[in-house]
Amino acid sequence: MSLNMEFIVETIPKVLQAIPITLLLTLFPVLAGLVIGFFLAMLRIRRIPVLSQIIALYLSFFRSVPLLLLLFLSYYGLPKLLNFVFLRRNKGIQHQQHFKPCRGAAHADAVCERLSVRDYSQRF
Amino acid sequence: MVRETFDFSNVITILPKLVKALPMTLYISVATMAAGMLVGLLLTFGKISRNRIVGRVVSGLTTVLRGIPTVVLLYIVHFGLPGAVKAVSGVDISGWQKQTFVIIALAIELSVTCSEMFRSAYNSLDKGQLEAAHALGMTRIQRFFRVILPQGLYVILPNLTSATLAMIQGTSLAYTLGVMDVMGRARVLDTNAFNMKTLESYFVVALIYWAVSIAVGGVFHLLELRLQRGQKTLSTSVETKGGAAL
Repeated sequence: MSLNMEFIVETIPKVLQAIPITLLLTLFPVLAGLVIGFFLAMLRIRRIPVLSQIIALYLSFFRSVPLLLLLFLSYYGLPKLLNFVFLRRNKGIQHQQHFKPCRGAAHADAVCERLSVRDYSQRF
Repeated sequence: MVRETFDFSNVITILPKLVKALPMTLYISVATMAAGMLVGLLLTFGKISRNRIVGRVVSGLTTVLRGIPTVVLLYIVHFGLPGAVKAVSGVDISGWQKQTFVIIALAIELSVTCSEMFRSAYNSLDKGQLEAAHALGMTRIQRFFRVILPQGLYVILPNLTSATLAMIQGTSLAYTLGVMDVMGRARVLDTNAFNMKTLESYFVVALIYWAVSIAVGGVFHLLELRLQRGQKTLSTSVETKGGAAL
């Protein structure tokens, strides 16, 4: 195995095309995380009895679970959860999948958002 | 067809199977921890050395390595290192176990984090103590173990805890190379069950990582309390003296 310089030169522009997605995936979690993290931090500072325990549990969980796993859980799990919560109650048992896994990016966003939430809520 | 429900009985059957894969995760974590801290210490010596060139090179290396995502580093190490080593020394390491490459990659990342941590801890020390140690005739090794380490360890402990937890979470990336750690095993289980146990498998993985994190955090907390004891006696003795004077 050796480095193929021509291939590297060819690849660089193609890889650079993907930068906007990376930046987008960075931007949304940072914004959403800052806002949600700020509120969580406020709630924790106030020490509201039940809520702050729930937040502590939430933080403990999301701080100790790998990013990759959150990605999988959110991608496969979130649609199921939404179906379970919103559809089964209204229309009886309906086994079609209504919330399909949509674009991976949206899910990655949701996950990163939660991740940055946990980070920022510690910083404040 | 993806199954809709979340079956708790599946969680109970999956849990023991995934716990069996935990030793691999722990093995990678412990080996990475040991290697990472050792290399991190060496890098720190480079950073604080009087030799400007060594300092510059190590700092530059740190900056570059900090900017590389873990997955990318993992791929570079796994696919690039055997070739590089063979070109340089002629030794063929392509037959090494995959987890070894994971350990190398994670250790590189951890060592960079550690070296920054160690350096700031070293800078926070009272430099007069180092001169005092020198005046007492301590060798550099004695000085390190008796003066720098006991105080530095207490300073870095909170950062070390979060770095360790981050590293343990990073071990989940090992599955991308096909290592059978908790994550890899979960994916295999799910695939073998025709993607019927996706949610349950990952839920169990989350539980395992959660438990490991809490345990590791607890160990570090105990260590912190243990080290705090030395610091406390110092401060309380001063307080009691002050109280007596009043």
